[in-house]
Order: sequence, then structure tokens, then C-alpha cells
Amino acid sequence: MEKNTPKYWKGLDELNSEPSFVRAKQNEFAEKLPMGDVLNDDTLGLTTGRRDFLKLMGFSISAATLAACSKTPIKKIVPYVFKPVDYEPGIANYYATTCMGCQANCSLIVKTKEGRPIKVEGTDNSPINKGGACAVGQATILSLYDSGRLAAPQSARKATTWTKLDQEVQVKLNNISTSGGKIVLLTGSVNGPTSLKAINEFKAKYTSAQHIMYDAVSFSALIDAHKQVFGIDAIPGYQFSEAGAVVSVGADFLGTWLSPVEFTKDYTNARKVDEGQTTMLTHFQFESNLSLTGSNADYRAVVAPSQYGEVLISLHDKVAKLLGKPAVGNSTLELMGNSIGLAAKKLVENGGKGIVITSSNDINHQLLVVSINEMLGNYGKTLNLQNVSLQRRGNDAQVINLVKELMTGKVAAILIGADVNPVYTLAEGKNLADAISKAGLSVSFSEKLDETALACQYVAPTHNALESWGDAEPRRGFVSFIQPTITPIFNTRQWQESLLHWTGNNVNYHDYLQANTVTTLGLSNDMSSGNMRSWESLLEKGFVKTSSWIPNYFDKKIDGSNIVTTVISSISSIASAGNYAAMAGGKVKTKAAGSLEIILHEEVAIRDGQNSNNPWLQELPDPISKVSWDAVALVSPKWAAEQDLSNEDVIDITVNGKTISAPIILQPGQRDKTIALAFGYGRKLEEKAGKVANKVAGYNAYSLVNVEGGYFNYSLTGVTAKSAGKTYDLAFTQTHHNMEGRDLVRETTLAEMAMGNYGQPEEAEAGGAHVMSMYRDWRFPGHHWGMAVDLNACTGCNACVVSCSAENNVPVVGKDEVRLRREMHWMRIDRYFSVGDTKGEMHNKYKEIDQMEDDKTINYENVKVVYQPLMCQHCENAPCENVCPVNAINHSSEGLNQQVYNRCVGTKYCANNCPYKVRRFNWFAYYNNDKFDYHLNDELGKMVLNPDVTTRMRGVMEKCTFCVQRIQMGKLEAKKGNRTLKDGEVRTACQQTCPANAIVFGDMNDKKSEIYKLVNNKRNYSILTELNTRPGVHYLSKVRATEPIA
Amino acid sequence: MNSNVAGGLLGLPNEIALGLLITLLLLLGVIAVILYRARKQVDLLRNVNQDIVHKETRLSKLLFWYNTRLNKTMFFLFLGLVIFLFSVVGWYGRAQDLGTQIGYAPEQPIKFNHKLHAGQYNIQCQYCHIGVEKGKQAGIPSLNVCMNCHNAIQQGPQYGKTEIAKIYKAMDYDAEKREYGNNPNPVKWVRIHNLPDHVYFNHAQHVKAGKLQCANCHGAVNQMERVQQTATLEMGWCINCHREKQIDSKGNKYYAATYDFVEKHKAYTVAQMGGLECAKCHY
Repeated sequence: MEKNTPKYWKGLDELNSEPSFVRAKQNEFAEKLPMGDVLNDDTLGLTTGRRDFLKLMGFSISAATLAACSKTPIKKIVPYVFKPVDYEPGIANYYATTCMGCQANCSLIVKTKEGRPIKVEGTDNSPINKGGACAVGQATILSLYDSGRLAAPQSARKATTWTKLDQEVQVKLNNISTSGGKIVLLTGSVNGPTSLKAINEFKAKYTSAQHIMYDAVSFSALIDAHKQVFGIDAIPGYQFSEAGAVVSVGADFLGTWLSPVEFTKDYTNARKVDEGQTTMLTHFQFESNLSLTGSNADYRAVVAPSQYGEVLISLHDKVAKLLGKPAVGNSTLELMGNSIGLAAKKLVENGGKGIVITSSNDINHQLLVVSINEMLGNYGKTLNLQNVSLQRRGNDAQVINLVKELMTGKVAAILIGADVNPVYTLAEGKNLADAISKAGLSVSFSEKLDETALACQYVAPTHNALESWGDAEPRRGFVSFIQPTITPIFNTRQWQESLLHWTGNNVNYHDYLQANTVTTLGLSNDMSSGNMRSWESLLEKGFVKTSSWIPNYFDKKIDGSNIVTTVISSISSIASAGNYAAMAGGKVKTKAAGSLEIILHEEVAIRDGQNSNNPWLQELPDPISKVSWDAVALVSPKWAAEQDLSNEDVIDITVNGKTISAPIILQPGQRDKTIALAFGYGRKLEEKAGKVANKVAGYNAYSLVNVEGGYFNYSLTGVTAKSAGKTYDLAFTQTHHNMEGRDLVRETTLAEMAMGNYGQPEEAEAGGAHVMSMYRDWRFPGHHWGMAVDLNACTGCNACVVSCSAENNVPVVGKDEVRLRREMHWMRIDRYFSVGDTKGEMHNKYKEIDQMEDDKTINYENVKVVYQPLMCQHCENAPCENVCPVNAINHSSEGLNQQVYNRCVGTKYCANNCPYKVRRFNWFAYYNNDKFDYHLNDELGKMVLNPDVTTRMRGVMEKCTFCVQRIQMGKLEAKKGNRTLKDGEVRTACQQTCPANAIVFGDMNDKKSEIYKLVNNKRNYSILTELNTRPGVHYLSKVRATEPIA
Repeated sequence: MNSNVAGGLLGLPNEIALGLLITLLLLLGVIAVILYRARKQVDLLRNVNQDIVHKETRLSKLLFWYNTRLNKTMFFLFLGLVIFLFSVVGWYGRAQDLGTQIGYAPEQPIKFNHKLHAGQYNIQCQYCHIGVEKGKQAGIPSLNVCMNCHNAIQQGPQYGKTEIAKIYKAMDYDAEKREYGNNPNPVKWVRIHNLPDHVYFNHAQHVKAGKLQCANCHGAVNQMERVQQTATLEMGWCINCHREKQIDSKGNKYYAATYDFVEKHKAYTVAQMGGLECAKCHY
């Protein structure tokens, strides 16, 4: 029987075998080496005479001799005068703090060396992120060392002192307050109890002050729906780990939505499959653009942005029908593969263990979702109404009103938090900037001169989060503390302290925080280390669960016990959820707009644009589009073909009288007639502050956001788009490092797995390639390091890539170099598409790529995606090792493929011979070159470098080392402690940060280790085994919860 | 010299062996000349009354051979070659040591006398270099460590008060009033043992896990008034030790659990546990 395995491809140019792609894939290096220039007649024509030659040679030799005579530089050692007690040079210290990269507030452990933070990791036992950290969190450490941050407070764009600024601001505030003028404090979502206390103190002093919270990408409708139905002014706490079925309408909860690390941890936990398992979380995604979450869904159907409401009505009514409850609309919309019906069925089957969410900021949509969840009995189980999420608290109505008041001059004073940037993120943009600058008083707390700070009269720069004290309460009952990991680099002051100073309270914020925490938590003042409830032990741990935390909710299986009743009993208006839904159902538009539409979305790395000056994030290829360094418009291949457009063509997009232009990418999985635009680009910071962000060209998607029904609206209809008649060069890596369509990713389904199909090809099971080998077998007397990557867990979020860069001093090369395929990332996430047949079945036969080529009716909307992280495979029979003329690569007795930089002469033979394309050649001295102005070439930026890893020089090959510095450190700690090395003690950087627990590293000689179990798992396979390379990296095939492939 | 470095001729260090060789050769040459001249005198005395004008002596043959132009050139070329070879052999050893800074003993900002502290007073190295068993760096002590003793001892046997006063100045300490000021200024010591940046070296591995003595690499510091570098710190020097040194890891549970030969054999080297592999030090 011929096996019907999917054919995978990375990009449309591969699928269609375009000439440029075919040409490029044959070479390891994109550009020819300039040998021709060196060896051509012009340079070889001997015009130099013998005497000149001898003179020059003589001069060179004597010059080289003289140069070699220079004195060895004298190095100094400067020890402390008074050494802090708990610090030793060369030994890392770790501090627990909280991530402020986005509003999810994951708990972090920051590694500091010689007083400077160099790496962040998630806190292992935090109930939010459970040891994981995302790409943004990993990258926050580089933002700390951004030399474009403000070095001192500013008044009217000139540096001033804090005393002067305090005096002037205080006088103005007093005058405005006494005359009854309106004072507004505009911040992002503040959830820290002590921060809120400081704000309240400010409001008590200036009674006309109002605190408004604002999220650039709003969750206001979601909050308001829960306020209307349950009287709870917050987002419920989602518990994906307990879910059996998840339906998301547009919400990218694994990539950007609300709390991605938390959700990814829980989601992959619920999708873990062991042998013989018959159930796993089934995930349905209905969306317009291919999101990271959608790409991981079992069932994904594309739908117009304007149809989200109709999908929800249809889903609501299908669930209602199954449960015998009243319908709210008259839509019977169905999408491919009857997926809405199937979703309803799965939700009902998993009653009380389902989650329905939508990203839509339309209150009616959210009310429908509340009603669906309520009908299914999910509240109190998978949706926690006691430990609610405080990660987004922005209120659209207040913000919209504020803009109106600002424009009409009704706001006398405005203080703007560092985490919001209204001039950039509100459509009013420039007009708003004018209004802010004309207000009686405008102060920005921004760390740098961003769009809003440029409009303000005063800038009172706050500390970077890694320099601050503070607290955050991302979930009600869970407080995570922020403590500084470095003394403030610049003359800055945290915004809470500034606020307090302006009320006349000249307190140090650390003391304020400590006093408040001790009082509210009832801590003992006994600071001895044995006291687990002391302030210091809290800081050491990094977080605390307060009394309102439901103790066993998160640790034990939900069994419908009293936990549920305690949560639900506090809610009075539960019966009314259906009534609200019925009302909402009548208001929801149920017809797709026929026109071209726009969906505005956040990208996994850049998100809302707050971190867009971070070179690590800019260089990170987007998991879906694989574009780095630029803003693009994602369009469907079908629409592009109709318009006769191809990749990198620029189009002008007009909606509501506004026009922006953007280069396009033909994106499989994108809904036809829908353009996806990303937030976070088109920044216009002050020159020095935006040296990275400003360089990235692109549109500002926020300028298109409009207000509908009192909420910010992120999907637009009535769009026209036409070619701008030009092209724009993009750096996209999707087809770099191509592996010629070999059988690299493997998948199966849960049902097939029960029948014994673990995604293995038959020949691998026979082990054919392993029988004969030219090489002697390696012996691994001590350790044998190995890695297993579970493709079923990997969501493709790219956190590992940034973590690897931070740990291993991987340079940022910039857009031009990425275009030349010279990105230096030691690991990459390959993204493979496969597509269903022409009927649009979501799960069905696959076609050969060459058959698909001629098939113009292929529906690229229904692609399936598999991600595969790829790093050096540490082969036992490594092809790279044999070809090195200087033996700069060799094999260790612990199974590592060792690259020796100081021996490498840069022939690049190894890269040419590596079948996995994981070797990176260092073309420039990136760390000492003005051309690569990405923080890492200046004094301050260099502080982020890991002192235990060499910064590689120009002209050498480099690659993944399995984090050998961590292996060596782990072994040494074991030796020092006179104990054995425990399994899981040595974790690679990619493994440690992975929000999906997809990567496991360990000693394969240890039969009790996790890695040993995984390597002997039936889903285990290695890639390109036919070459007999015997990789040390193993993969576990992906499992989908779909019906079997026919 | 460290005994771990493989010896040259007769086990002597290269320089001395070469010197001996050259002296011997020179001596031989001088003896040959003396003998030759003596022989000539004897011949002259013996043949004083004979007709020697037309007789071809060995000397005249030699002179004739020497006087032909080609042979003259050959002779000088040969001589040149011999001298060249000698200098190559001689300088090779020196060139290898270029940049190794062996014997480097810079003057330090404070004339701290190791012979006095570590030798005469027998203070343990770890008392000041506290990092040596904990991590990568042994560490130069911070000045508050000095003050453990020099709080009381304000005058030394060698330099009197001058050097100790430098500690007080750096700490902004008033020895009379016994008060610290607010203007400390750290001492900038000159680093003696320098490894290239691409080498990772960890003291704890060698001292704590490997149970090496400080003197194995740093020489008899307790005999040095001013510390100097005694080992080459070259890779060959490192590798030699990893190859030859029999290590003692008895009782360390890590080694016992990881390598099965640890319990079986009495002696083994670092090399047997992969100590010669590149990524043990270069990453």
C-alpha cells in the first residue's frame, strides 16, 4: 500500500519551483565568493616590476616584524574596596523579578554577572509562566542596555535636574488642582498593589486627578462583557491545562493574546500524548490571517474578519441546540469540514472543560462568547472568576473620551506612563501630539524620547524594569515582585517615586513597597532568613500567593468539587448571560462584507511596538511570514495572482480615506480578499532613541484603527488596494537553509497512533541505514549528551532563538546581511506547509508537490503547518568533521560536535558539507563595526554579553554548542558538591526558556533520564538517517487530534 | 622550571643543553687547531734538512683545493649553513616562548610581599584568594580582607608604614581616628597571569575537584617577594599536565558515578576523561 504522507514545503517559491529559488538552493552561500575579481586579468596583469616587488616585500616583512615587537599590553585587576558579602567575581548571582516586556507579567529569574544582568529565565514554580519566557521577555535584557535611553530628566527638550523638575511640576500641579483643572494620569494596565496605592495617594492629593488605563491593543470589550454579565471588572483566568476543547475566533493566544507563555505552557501540557492515549486537547481556530495559534490548530478554517460575529452566533446556536437551550440568531454558517458543528460537538462533549475565546473587541461578540462558555459550564472550571486576569485593564470608553477632551483643551494636565505611547498608538497621532504639548502641563515618564515624550513639556524618565522596584498582580491573588538587578545606569527615577514626590511624599520607593507589602500581607518584621514570610524571603522567591488565591485550583485536577461552587456562588446574575447573548445576537452583523478587508494583528516578536527598538526582536524572523526587519502586508496568493502581484511588490491600501503602502508577502493560510497588517512599525522616535526602530521602514497600522460601538476596532471593511508600481526589498528567511524537500517533518494523528502509526516511515523502523558504517563506533564512557525535540509540543514561537542568541553572544547582522542569507542565529525554526486537496477538506488526501504545481484550484487558505526547530545535530558521523583541513571540528567523548574558533581558518568546507545547514559563517567583526549599530557594538550594549562564551572573530565558522558552557558548569557544580549530576540539572538555553517544554536535553547514558525515555519513544526519529550521520538531536513526530488521514 | 615540561638533551632544559653543545663544539675546534699547529711544528722540525719545495704536502693540497674559486664558495656556504642551522635550533626554543611572559614580575602599586605573608607568616593562599575553590577566578582580595589584620598591624618589617598606608589611602581610612571616609579609591593591581580570551579556565575545577596545589602552576609564591610568572601558560603546558598528571578523585561521587574506570584503576589521567578535547576549554 502506498503511504499517503503529506508533502511539505516552506514557501510558495519552493512549491512552484521558481527559477530564483532553484538557483539559490543549490548553494550554501547566497553570493558567489569574489574569487573572479581577484583572479581576473586586471589584477593579475604584472605591471609591478621585480624591484618594486622586492621593495614592497622587504617593507612588509620589516613592518610585520616591527609590529610584532609591540609590548604585551599590561592588564589591570581592580578588586572591590569593600566586597559585598554574597558576591564572588566570576560567579553568577540570580535575582527574582517580573517581566515587563508585555502586560502578562511573567515571573523571571535574572542572571547577573559582575553586577550586570546578562540573561533572563522564567521562574520555574511561578503559576503564570511555569519556567518559560517568550521571545519578548528574553529580549528585554537588551533593551536595558539601549544607549538611546534618556540619561537625565528633560524640560522643554533640554536636560534638567530632578530638583528643578520636581519644583516646576509640583507648582503647576498645585495651580491646576486649586483652580479645579482636570488632571489625567494615563498609564498602561497597572496591576501592582503598591503602584495602585501610589496612584491613589496622588489622586488623594490632587482631587481633580483621574487615572485612565489604556492598552494599545485593547481587551476592553472582553472586560466589559464580564462586567455586564457577572459584575466582575476583569478578564477571567483561563485554565488551558484542564481544557479538552478550545475554540478561538481570531485570538492568537499562543503568540500574542493576553498571556502567551502561560497559555502555551498549559496548552502543550494538555496536548501531551503518551503511548496508548486516546484523548488530547482538540483545538479549533477560526481566523482571517494565519496566526501562530492557528498554525497549531487541529482544525482551522478561514473566515472574513467581518464574519467573526456570524461564526460566534452559529457556534452559539449549535451548542445551544445540543444542550437544548434557546438560539440567539438565525445563522447556520458552516465552514470547511463542518468545523463549526464539530467544534460545538467537541465543546459539548467536553462540557465544563472547554474554552471559547475571541480576539474581537466588539462587546456583542464577547457577550456571545460569555454565553457559550456559561452554557457549557466552563466558568468556575476552565474559566476562573476568582483569580481573574489583571493583565489587561484598559478602558476604551475612558480613552476615547480623554482624546476628545484633550483635543478640545479640557485637560489641564496630563501625565503619561512609560508603557503607553498614545501619540503613536492612537489614530489621531499628530493632532494628539499638538493637543498634549498645548495642555497646561504634560509629563511623560518614558524611558526614551518616543513619539509621546517628544510632545510632552517634561520627561521624567523612569527606570528600566530591570532597575526598578515594584510589584505586579497579573492574576488576582498572585503578586510577583519586581526588584532591581543592576544599579540604575542613567539618572532616572521610577515613575511611582516621581508621583509620590509630587504629592510631597519624598519616600524611597523601595521603602514604600516594602512597607506596603509587609502591611497588606501581614508579614512579620522579623527578617531572619528562617522566616519564610519575611520580606526578604518573598524577594528571594519572587512572588507570593495571597489569601484570595484558590489553593488547589491550579495544582490539582478540577473535579467539580466545592472549588467551583465557591467561585460561582459569588455571582448573582448568571442566568442573565443568555439574555445578554440574545440581545447581542440581534446586533451582530451576520453577513460578510463583499469587499476587500483588513485585519490588524500583532506579530509574535514586535507585538504592540513597545519593544521595536530591540535589534534581537527585529532580526527575529516572524514565525509565520519569516520576514525580519520589515513591516509587510500579508495577502492571499489567490488575490495576488488576480492582481498580478508577487512577493515584495508594494501596494497602496486605502480605507476610510487613509492610505498606507506596504510590500506584500503571499501568505499561505491567509483568507482571500483579506490583507493582514501588523502593529508596531512605522516608529518615529527621536533619532538616538530610535536608532534601530526608526531604521525599519513601514506603515503605522494604528493610524487605521477606528472606533466602532465605543470600542477600538481592528478589522476594517471597504478597503481598496492597488499596486504602487514599485518593489521593496525584504529580508525573509523562509527558504534559507533549504533541505531539498526531504522527509524531515513527520506527523500522525491521535487515531492513527492508536493503530500503531507513530509517523515513522517504514525503512527507518527497519533501521536499514545503520547496518554498515565506514567509521568506527564512538564510545561515550562518561556522559552522552543528546536532545529530543517534540514537534507535537513546539508551537514555533521563536523564544528559543532569542534565548540562544542571548546565551551564546550571537551577533545581530541587520537587514542587508539577512538578505544575503548571512543571519547568524544558531538555531532556526523551520516552518513547513502542507495543503489539503481542492475540495477544501481540512483533513484529507495530500498531493505530490509537482502535481500541485499545475493545479490552479488549490486552496492555499487551508494549509497545515509543522514547525521544526533546527540546531546543530551533533552527529556521531559528522560530515563537517571529515572535510575540515585544519581539524577545527572534532567529536568529543561526550557526544558533542566541537567547533574550535581559534583553530578555524574559515574555509567554509564544513558548511558546504553539512546536510542540516546549521553552520554559520562569521563574515564581519560584528561587535566592533559601526556598520552593525545594533546596541552590541557600543560600550553599554556589550554589557549584555555572556562572559563565559567567546565572542567570535571575523572569518570563523560557528554553530550550536549544546550550550557547552552550561554543561561544564553543571559538571563542575556536581564535582564541587561531591554528588552525581542530576537529570535536568544541565539545561540548554533553548530548553530552559521553551514555553512549550518541547525541548529536552540530557545524558543518554543515564537510563533513568527524561531524554533516554524520549529517545526510546515510538514517535522518536532522527532526520536524514539515510546519510548515517547518527544525530545527537532527536525529534518526536507531531500528533494531531484530527480524524485519521484517509 | 616546572618538572612537567618535557626536557631537551639529557633531561636538561633546552637553553642549557644548547649552550653546553656549543661550548663543547668550540672546545673541539680549539683542540683541533692546536693539534694541527703542533703537528706542523713537528713536521717542520723533522724535515728541516730535506728538500721540501716540490713535494706536495697535505696542506698544499688542501690549500689548492681551497683556492679554487668554486670550492671557496662552497666552503663559505657550508659554514653559513652550519651557523644558520645552529641559530635555528637555538632560536626555535626562544621563539616558542615569545609572548609567554615567563618570569614576568611587574611592580605592583602596593609592594605586597608574598614571601612575608605566605612564607614567613604561613597564611594560607585561600585566606585572601577566596574564590579559588568556588569558581572561575581565584580573585584578588578586596581591601577589607587586608584590614582584618592591618586594622591592628600598621607597620611592617620591610617598608615600615609606607606600603600599609597605601591601603588606608585607598580605603579612605583614617588610621588615627579609625574611621572610614567616603572617598575610597580601588587599587589597580597589575595582572601577571594572562590567558588568551578564547581559553576558559576555572580555578575551582583544578583546585577543588582536581585537588591541585597552587604551587603546581604558580610556583613557590611563598618564596617570592614580588610575584612572578613561573609557568609558560601555553597550551602545550596545559596539555602535558592533562596527559601525564595522575589525578586523584577518590571519594568524589561525581567521578565514581560517571566513569566506571575510576573505581577500577588506581591511577588515571585527565586525558582519559576527555581532558584533551577542544571544547573542554574553548567555547
